Amino acid sequence: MHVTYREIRKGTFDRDVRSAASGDAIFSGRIQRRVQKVLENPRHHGYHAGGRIRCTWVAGVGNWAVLYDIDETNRAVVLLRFVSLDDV
Amino acid sequence: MRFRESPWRSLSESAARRIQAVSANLVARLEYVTDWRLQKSYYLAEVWSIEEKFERLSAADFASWSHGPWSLPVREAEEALEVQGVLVRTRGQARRRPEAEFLHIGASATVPRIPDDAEFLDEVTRQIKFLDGVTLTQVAKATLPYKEARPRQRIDLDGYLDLLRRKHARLQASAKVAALVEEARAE
Repeated sequence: MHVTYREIRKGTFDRDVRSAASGDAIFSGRIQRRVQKVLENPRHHGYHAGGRIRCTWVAGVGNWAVLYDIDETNRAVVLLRFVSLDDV
Repeated sequence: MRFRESPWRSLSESAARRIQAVSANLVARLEYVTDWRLQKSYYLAEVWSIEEKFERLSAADFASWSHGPWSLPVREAEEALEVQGVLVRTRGQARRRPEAEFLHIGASATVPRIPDDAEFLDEVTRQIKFLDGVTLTQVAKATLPYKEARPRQRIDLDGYLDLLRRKHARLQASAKVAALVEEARAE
């Protein structure tokens, strides 16, 4: 797998993922695969959000979304949150 | 007597060709597969395309049978691909039965190219290739569109796409999510 951006995980993101996918190996695998794709090409595998969360990037995973920032200076993806689309 | 609406809508020639191309590409990546396994894999690829790319992979309709999602258009695509010599059906030893029919790509066949979705199908098949049949069915049955479909009726994948687009619009407008993002940035 060709990773082009460094991964920075906020504690909030890890806590969100743990709470969402605890005990579900398939869903955990899907989230991890999605994160890997985002790291390979963050602009291609997500969309730039507007509205109240403008400047944040979003990648969908099932009924959930990975919210992240792209730090071009350090060529890094900052994983911020993992939120349920039913809990917004 | 009340007749139920058929789950199957008519398809254009180009839509049918697209389903054949996706089917052939899935078989090429999964190697030896039964019709049953191809059906579940195709369905999950459709659902994950909606959830991750906000677009349908193809126009294939699926119905909610009790044993999981199943598609007549996908079955017809298999048959058309067999006639073209792209797919070959052979009998072989199966894990849970003495024998089963397996689909695979013919030795001299050319798999139709789908450049825009090749990477996506690589990822989908990497995730499901080694799942056993029971788990694969459980994953397919756990999807929201399957759970919301009435028995033996069409699974509303177009409606699911609309629903997810609306949910993502709501996500972007959410003050709660904006606060969650700010909390994460401040950490």
